[in-house]
Amino acid sequence: MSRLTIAAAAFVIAASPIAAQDAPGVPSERVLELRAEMDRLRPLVEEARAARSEREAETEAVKRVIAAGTTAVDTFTVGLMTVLTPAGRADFARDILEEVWETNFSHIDRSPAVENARFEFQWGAPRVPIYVPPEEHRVSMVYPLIEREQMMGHVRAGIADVLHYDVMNHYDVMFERPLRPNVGRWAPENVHFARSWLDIYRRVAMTPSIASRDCLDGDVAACKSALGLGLDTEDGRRGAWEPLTRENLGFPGPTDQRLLETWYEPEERRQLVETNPSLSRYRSETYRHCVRDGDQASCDRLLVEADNHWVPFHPSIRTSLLALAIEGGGVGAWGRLIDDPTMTPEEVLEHVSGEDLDALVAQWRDRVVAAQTPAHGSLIPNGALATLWIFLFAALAVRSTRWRLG
Amino acid sequence: MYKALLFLHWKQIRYGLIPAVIASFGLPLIVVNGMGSGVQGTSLEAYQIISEMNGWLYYFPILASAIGIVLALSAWNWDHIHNHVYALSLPVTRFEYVRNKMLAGFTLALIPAFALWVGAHIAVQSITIPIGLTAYPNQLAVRFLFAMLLFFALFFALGAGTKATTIKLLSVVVALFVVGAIGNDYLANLFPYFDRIHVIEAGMQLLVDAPGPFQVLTGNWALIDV
Repeated sequence: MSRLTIAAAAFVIAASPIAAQDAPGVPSERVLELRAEMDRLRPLVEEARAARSEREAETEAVKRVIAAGTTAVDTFTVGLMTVLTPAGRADFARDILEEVWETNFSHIDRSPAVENARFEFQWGAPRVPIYVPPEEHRVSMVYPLIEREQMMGHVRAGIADVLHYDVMNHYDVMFERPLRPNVGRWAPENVHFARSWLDIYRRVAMTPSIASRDCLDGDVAACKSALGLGLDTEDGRRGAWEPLTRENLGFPGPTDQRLLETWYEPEERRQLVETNPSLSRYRSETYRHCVRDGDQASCDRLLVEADNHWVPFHPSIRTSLLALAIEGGGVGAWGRLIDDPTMTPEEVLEHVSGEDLDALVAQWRDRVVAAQTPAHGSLIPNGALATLWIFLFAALAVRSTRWRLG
Repeated sequence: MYKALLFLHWKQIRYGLIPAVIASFGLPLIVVNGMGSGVQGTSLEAYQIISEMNGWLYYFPILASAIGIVLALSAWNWDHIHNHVYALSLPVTRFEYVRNKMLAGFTLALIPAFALWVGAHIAVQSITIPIGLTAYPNQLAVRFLFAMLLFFALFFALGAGTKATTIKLLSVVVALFVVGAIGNDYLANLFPYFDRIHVIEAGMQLLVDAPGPFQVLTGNWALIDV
């Protein structure tokens, strides 16, 4: 077992009690002890990482020698992408990538993730090794002989995945930088794969929450609350999406009772507990009181103390608002999105869209409600069309050659 | 005439309708199986419930088409066996005979559709619909009936023809598929248009989109939805 693995395992073991007991009632002395243990292990982890880096550099040197002897590479740029392709295939690759970029990503004016990446593109022909230095992020777009449209779909998805790094950029918490920008925690799904508005409407309509129902009824403030925006908690924390740091280690802290009562009926809060058996992990007696005995106070206590915001709307719904903000922001919106990773989601949405948050959420609600279609609204036109075809087939049956008697 | 043909068709298909009725009645019950009732904690997973239910929805159009095909082929079965002597000996026009035969088939198609309607209502009553969702047993039964009648009419028309006509027709369809699949790649080398358009896929899309005949199959088959 490598030294890095041992050190990482020791770090995780030391850190897990902090995670488990990051709840009211845990003595702070214990937390300090555990943090001190983490500090003691940190040099060992860094030493192991340095050793691994050295080994990887040697491996890369060998790969470089091998690739240099066998592959001539063309390098060109499309949009913000730097593309590497085997020599002689640049024109072909450029046509495809330009079409994908212009169609889907022409509004992207700035993207550190894309600019730092090296896109290796090969399609159809046997793959040849192309060397990319380890400090550069290789994005492999190597496809067998599949249909062009299918391949372009893969290319689009690959670029979108890289763009997602801008929103979800991971920093190592050990170096005391935010683990993830706020907006990435609030809307973790890839905004380029945002679901259809009809799907969003269905999710909103099926979210069992007071705030969700009020939102559909026209209350924009309820929409904001259900989206997890503009939340003021009882302990004075502004908002719920603070940057993750060494101190909070990725756990967002308790949700307060007032918010829960705003969002959910008592029965819905009890069902939240029932559908999350993991809540029994550290408060098994309380969990039993809630689930078996129906004790509302026990249910609420579990929810308040849990490591979860319980924001009513699913991340995909929140991502749809972000997608709308980017769409409204036009060219340059993506650059504004990644301007400052410490911005709260509320600030990001206003900064990206250039609109007031309330107006943006109202616009989002209108878009969601407009997407509503009657579940069986197509039955009558479908039925009418089917009837016409039935008559046509009946006419064909009458005109059968069998019946031609003279 | 209609009653006589209905009776003949009924005699031909009555035992075959038993599994069809059981399947039509039972499918809605299978769809809602496991959704629970009362306060069983299902409402929070409404979207998940809908997603899981979607896995069963393909069986509705499949069942409808299967029943329609069986009804259609059984309508002509005895005629084919006896070389249509009975039909040709009757003092009725061919239009009258085919019309009454078709109406008899339509009437028998009501039986599995009714079974599905009853099953859907029982299924809906047996569960608690989560907030935000609505049940559509009537709409489901109507769509099921239309799909059944469509396939009945199509295969009724095929069955009405001679064997030679049917074989020629099916051969043309199969040939189109084969040639289309092979030829598309060849044409793509000559004409860039075929590089972007696949003939077979485009053809299938024409059939299932309006005004194609099978659009009724691609609609919403959900018993419970928003």
